[in-house]
Amino acid sequence: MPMPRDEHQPVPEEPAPLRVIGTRPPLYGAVDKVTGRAVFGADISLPGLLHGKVLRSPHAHARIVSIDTSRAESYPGVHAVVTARDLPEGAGERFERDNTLAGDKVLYVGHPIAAVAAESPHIAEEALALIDVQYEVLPPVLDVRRAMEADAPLLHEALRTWSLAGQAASPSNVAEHLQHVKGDPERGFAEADVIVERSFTTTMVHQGYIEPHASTALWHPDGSVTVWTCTQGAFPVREHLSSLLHLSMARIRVVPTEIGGGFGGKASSYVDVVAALLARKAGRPAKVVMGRDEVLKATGPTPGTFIRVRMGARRDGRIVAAEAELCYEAGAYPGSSVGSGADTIFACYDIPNARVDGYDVVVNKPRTSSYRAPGATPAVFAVEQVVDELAERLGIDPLEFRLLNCAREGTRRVSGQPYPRVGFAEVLEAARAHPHYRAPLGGPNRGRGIAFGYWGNWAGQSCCTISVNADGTVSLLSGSVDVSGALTGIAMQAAEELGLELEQVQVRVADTASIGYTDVSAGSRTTFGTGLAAIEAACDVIAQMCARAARLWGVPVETVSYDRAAFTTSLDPTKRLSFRELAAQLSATGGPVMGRGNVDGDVLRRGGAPGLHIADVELDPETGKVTVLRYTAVQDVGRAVHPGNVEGQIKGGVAQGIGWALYEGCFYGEDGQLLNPTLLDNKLPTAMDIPEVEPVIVEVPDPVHPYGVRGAGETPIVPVAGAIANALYRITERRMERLPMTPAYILERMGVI
Amino acid sequence: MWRDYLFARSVDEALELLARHEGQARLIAGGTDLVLQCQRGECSAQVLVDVTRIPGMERIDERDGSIILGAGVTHTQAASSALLRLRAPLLSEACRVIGGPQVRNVGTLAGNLVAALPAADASLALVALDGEAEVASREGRRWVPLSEFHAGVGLCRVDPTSEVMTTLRFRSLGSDYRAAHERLARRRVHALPIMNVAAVAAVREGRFADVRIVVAPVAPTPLRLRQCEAFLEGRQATPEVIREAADLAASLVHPRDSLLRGSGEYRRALAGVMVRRALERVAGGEQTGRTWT
Repeated sequence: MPMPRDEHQPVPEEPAPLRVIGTRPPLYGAVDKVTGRAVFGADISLPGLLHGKVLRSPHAHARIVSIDTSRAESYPGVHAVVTARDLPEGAGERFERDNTLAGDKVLYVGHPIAAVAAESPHIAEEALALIDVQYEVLPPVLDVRRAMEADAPLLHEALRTWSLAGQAASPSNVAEHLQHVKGDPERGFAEADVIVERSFTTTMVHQGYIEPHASTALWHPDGSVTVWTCTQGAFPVREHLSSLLHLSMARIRVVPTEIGGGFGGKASSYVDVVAALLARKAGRPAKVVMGRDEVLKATGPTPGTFIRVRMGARRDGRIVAAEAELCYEAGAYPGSSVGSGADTIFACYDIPNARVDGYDVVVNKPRTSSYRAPGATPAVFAVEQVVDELAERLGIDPLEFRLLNCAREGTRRVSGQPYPRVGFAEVLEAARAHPHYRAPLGGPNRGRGIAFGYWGNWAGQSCCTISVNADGTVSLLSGSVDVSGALTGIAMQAAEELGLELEQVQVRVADTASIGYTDVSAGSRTTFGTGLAAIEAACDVIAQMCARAARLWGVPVETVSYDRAAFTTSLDPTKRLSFRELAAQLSATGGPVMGRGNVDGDVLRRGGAPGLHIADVELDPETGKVTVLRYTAVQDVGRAVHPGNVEGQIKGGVAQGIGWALYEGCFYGEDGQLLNPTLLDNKLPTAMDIPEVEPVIVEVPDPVHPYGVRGAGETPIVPVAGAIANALYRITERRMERLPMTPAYILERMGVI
Repeated sequence: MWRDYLFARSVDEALELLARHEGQARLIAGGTDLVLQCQRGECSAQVLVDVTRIPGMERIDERDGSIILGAGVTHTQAASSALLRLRAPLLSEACRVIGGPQVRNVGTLAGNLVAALPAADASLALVALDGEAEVASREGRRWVPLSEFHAGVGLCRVDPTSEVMTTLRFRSLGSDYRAAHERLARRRVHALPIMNVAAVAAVREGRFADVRIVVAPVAPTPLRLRQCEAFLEGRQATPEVIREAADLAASLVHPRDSLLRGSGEYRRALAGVMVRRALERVAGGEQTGRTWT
């Protein structure tokens, strides 16, 4: 609630209640988006623009014997053809470079090999067909466990497994073996009265953002380049371009456009370097817009996984031991999300003895990319079914069992870090108190399941600037791009700190030439980390303006304070200037005021966000069709800066999670061809498939943030598949050991077919 | 991609335009499949001849005991037609679940047939209704029974480079007829079915008559289960008979294993379940489609 302003009211001792944070204003840019005014990646148009298309590998695994581009180059309307040979010698990290344009091998169907810039997209496409590539086709390896076998085909002859023991001597598809150990797992299991062990497999799932990747490059006569691109982070794109083009960062300006979905998938760069190479070679600006099939075949899905979980508990309900083995498909190049999967798998629980082994494994599928709580959803799908089974075997209510074992402040995680203040128990208690948990199911073939998930938010580095305008408004520049309405939450924090109304804060996303380095909008960091930068910039503005007031009044700056949009001095109660009044006098008191905030949130010991989900489902036992009837998602969000947007994040995460649970997946044939490279066959759920999701916001403030903000965007996907699986168990008495849980799979598990 | 896009004002003009381009021209109506094929380079036509502006292409009438549909009737028109909802709900409900609103607004019944995908919802209903299509060529006009219309996946007995489908018709169902449509898909909209069943029959004095059961996709074309229909003909519409017919149906279909739709074994079992449910609803007197989603 905004407080009434009385200019003559004495300054209160208590901190003012929040005026902006906790309200639900319209999101910045929302009207532009729904009325078609927003400029997205593919909307960029420039005089003389050429259109680029990418030639992609038809094979999942092959050596490139030769590439002949001469016919394409002489095709009328073609202005440039590029291959990996056009990248500067030795530029960039090898895997990064090879994934941008293949070197001596192609490693997945859709791997980029060459690109053409032409007068029209159609000419470019026709010219692609004229590029002659000779391949020596090799056998592909597509399954994570098969890839780990000693006799599996090798993707990278030079790849050696890294582990705690150092680097192995012989080549392998396992890029890394990581391990966390806590306590004595063997002794823990010996102490257990009940032990449950199960193995689970999940398929790759694509992020499914609706806007395909699009990038446009324009070279300037001084040898610098401007790139417009739809990305979750303009600065990482700049650094990717700098590294692969051997160009200094100062010569690259990346302008982020509006972004039509990313979910982690637009934290990677795919066509930016290609657009820049084409534009440079052609001497004209070039735009590359990916097609839907290119996006689904060649951009980062989440890893497919094999996960084995074993847990033991005592009769008194305490979990005493746990172990997990997580094998994650990295795709063609190392770097799967197995690390965060391993970090998350037992994160909700206080387990005295545990071991986690994680394997990062390359396979002949596209290089995986982040996807909303990377690695956590498969891990929690696995562990929450085992936890559920332990509770059942011990005869304890599943929610009470989780409460009995949940992590608390100071609990040491399996990966080593002790927890700061996090509302694990508060979330469970809120779920227990919610009427959904005890509501009647209302019919046969219905079941209720719960699952508990956690995502340990990242903080990262961020910059903001705030310029004070003469009319008392301010212009806020954010280094973060606006993913899922975060920009509004950032501006709200600045408005709160400045004592201004949100309407007085104009916020824009800056390009890389206009602000300092800022990490990608990802990892549930943006509202937190860039919010901190906005708060810091606001504090800087206030400090500078206090100095101006001091100069005007001829008083020491230490005597000037700012509260409720007014400057006062303790030396003279008659002196008082509103923010607006002082803003009008800046040019006469030393010139413009611009505040800066540049923060490294990673120095803070930040807590994450736990979520407990309750799912009611109905199963048609003859067809295997599952309908989600009711869904409640309880989550600790620290402080909901914009509760409506937080609820939107929770609903969206649950919708994606239902997609993982029941509908989606990238299905590959034995030859490595993606069988469903369309949105018709890659079945993202639609609004028709998702029930009304009820978000329940729990606010346990994170003490490291001035307003208590935690990340909210990723946790909502984490427990969904586990909750639905546990609900299905109540109906079928079978544990679901695979994602997606298709009708056919459920009937197979039930032994019906 | 095509070079010219022409609008025909009459069937004769469409035939004339096709003939003039000697196999290089193709008919287009809604274009929901064809335009994508052109974009993917799977259609070599240089000329597209649009038939949607030919008068009469969008009519929906009942005449002399038959429902008459212009070949250009869109799915949305079929789904929202008061006449069809009253007299052929099987067809209108089938049209309601095709694709999404944008596809239904331009995609046509004729296009659904000519695309010849075995699982196509409107085709399934039209085959179950014993529909016929009138096909015009330079040689004259002929009626093709829809049960013989499909020739394989993507293949049918109309040549889109020289012939024009003008009209669809089927006998209106008598008051003792019932029809039911069962559909299972991975999601509610924008989804090709895992299994699609349409059943039409009269129930006279408790006995089945004139039974038509169509199942898809279990074969390259929508599959009429004629043995199953013959089994039911004249038999009492009891749960036992229906169960026996459903078992027979399951034994008659041989769906492929599919990573996207499920194993052949699963879908064979599913065919039995869905034929049983359709027949139960026919026997129970319902006259609506139903989508199990």
